Amino acid sequence: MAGTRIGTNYLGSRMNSENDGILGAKKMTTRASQRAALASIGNKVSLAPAEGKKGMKKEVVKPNKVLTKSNATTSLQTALVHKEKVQEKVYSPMEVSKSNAYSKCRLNFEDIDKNDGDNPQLVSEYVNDIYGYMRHLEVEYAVKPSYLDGQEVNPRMRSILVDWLVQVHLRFHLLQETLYLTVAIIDRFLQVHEVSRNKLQLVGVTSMLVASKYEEMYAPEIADFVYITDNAYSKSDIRKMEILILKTLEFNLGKPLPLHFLRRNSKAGQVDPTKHTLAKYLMELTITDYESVQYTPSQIAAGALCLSIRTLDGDGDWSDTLHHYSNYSEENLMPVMRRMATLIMKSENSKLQAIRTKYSTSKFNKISSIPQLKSSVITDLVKES
Amino acid sequence: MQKYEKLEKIGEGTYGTVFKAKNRESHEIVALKRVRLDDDDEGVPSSALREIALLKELKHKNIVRLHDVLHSDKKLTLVFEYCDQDLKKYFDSCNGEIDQDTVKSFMFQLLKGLGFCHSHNVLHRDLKPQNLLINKNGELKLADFGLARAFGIPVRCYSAEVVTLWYRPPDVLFGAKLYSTSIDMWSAGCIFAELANAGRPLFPGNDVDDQLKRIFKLLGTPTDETWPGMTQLPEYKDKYPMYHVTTSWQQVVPKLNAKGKDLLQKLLVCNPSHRLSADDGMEHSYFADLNSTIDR
Repeated sequence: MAGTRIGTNYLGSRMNSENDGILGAKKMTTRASQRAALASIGNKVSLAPAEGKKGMKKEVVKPNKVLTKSNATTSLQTALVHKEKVQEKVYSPMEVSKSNAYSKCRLNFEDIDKNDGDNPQLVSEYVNDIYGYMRHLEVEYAVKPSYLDGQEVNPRMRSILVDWLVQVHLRFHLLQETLYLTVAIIDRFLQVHEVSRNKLQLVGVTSMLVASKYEEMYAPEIADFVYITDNAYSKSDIRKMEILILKTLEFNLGKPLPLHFLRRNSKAGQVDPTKHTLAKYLMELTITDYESVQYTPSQIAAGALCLSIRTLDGDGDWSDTLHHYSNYSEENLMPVMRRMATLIMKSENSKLQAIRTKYSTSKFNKISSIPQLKSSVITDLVKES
Repeated sequence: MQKYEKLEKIGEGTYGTVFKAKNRESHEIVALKRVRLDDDDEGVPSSALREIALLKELKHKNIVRLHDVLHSDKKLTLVFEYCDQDLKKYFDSCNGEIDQDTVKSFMFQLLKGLGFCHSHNVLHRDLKPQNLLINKNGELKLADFGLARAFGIPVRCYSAEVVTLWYRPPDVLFGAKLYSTSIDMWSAGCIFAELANAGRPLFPGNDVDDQLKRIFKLLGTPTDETWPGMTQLPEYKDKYPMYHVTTSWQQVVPKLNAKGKDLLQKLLVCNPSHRLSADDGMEHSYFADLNSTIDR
């Protein structure tokens, strides 16, 4: 088991097609190269039996270098052929308005915390203050839609990076919070600090290091991250990037995560574990999706649960209680649900399979392979979008 | 460090040396906490990273203000507002005498700072007199967030290696990894008693066993009835004698008035789910006649 160097070679090969500085996802140009690049990531990182970190360091096999080099050439050529297909993506403004917050006073909702006084873990006395504070913070730390416009790093590279980090995260046995925080750090860093594509993976692993230090009881060591990138970067590179990221973010790491809001919503909806798990899957699908950076964590959490309920119940019952505690009406959530439905549709044939594979295991109730994900609830939403 | 002129060493925090210093331009006095970043180590220590990240969010009169973070080649320097002393040193200067209005004022400010942390999903996890700063206006500020962390809801398992022994609650002494805001409320109770006694620690245990014995001697050994779930805690041992309450609160905190004793008892509850919260503490009648110079 060697680490995986993504990006450096593969991402480097894309430079020629995009030195005009225009953002472009360009499915055609990337297809040939992605397959090879991703296959190598998948082989190296995913589905590895959980080994001790010490053990895995000793085996050094690096066949992927050859792979990425050869596919780099392929990609370079195809990329040049399709150079003219660059197109600019226009983003719709955030469609979820704030106005729904004011109308909620007429909602007939239940007090979901009233019986929690005896359980300190539920912090019932502060819970509403805390969620109010989180909603304030998520706006403050929002990521600009289309922030990659004009950058060397493009949305496709971001997706590949996040897909790979999902596998690293799984392999390091880290908390879900750490994964979401990692992605939040990457986006908040990249939107103010442009990096070259050969530094993208460095930003990725360093963001995960920072997120781990903030969230985990025991963070992985820097050497583990060096190893997992197949020595693409040194420990010193990671330490320098750590300082750069922390300074750029001014040490503001307390961005609320979709997971925080989902737990609140699942409680408000008293949903069963299957619905909660499906919502987790839907949320996680958004992290590899660049278009989803426009949605706040609370929108993603509410949209995921609402779509999960619709999918599993065949219709939607977004109760007043859910509306009140999530701060969104079902109507407000349509744009994010349409996006999630599209992601579900695309997931089967996508090159990026880390999340779908992760959620096909019994630990996650094999939720990514349930037949309801092909039902009309999903396909109708996709048609609308 | 060009911007600041170091004046004297004040002490050692959880992860760095603290200096008193002067801003060369504004002449403002600040406290500098220096974090060494050695080559070939793990980069920014997680304690420093958390302290900075959390203090950036916690802007409150009763929480020490982090003005700035400076980075140079081999170190990070945290620039804090300067406070004249910590509560430990304040006690040393008291010579066993403390004005009961001061006790009330400090306790109120402690609860206020703590309530702010808790409503912003932060646990301090290391409250003790050394980590409470006092400035010359009699303002008390929570400091040293090196062990603090943000929590989600429901609060999940965190490290059991938190809080200095004397201020550590019985649930954590029994190895509980699942704790919540109540962890800080126990420490606040211990500090309240220490305040009322002008600096005599309430439970100065020598080790975990001794600490638990001292607590149970005063409060009575908890039972499955008073504290359901206690016997399931990881480090729970069935070896503590069944102490019954024999010491009166009058003996423990003779100078504290009746309302103060009532508040103290509501904080020092072994079962964490029955411990008073910071916000409820501030509403306690003990503070009804609080000197109006303290903002409520």
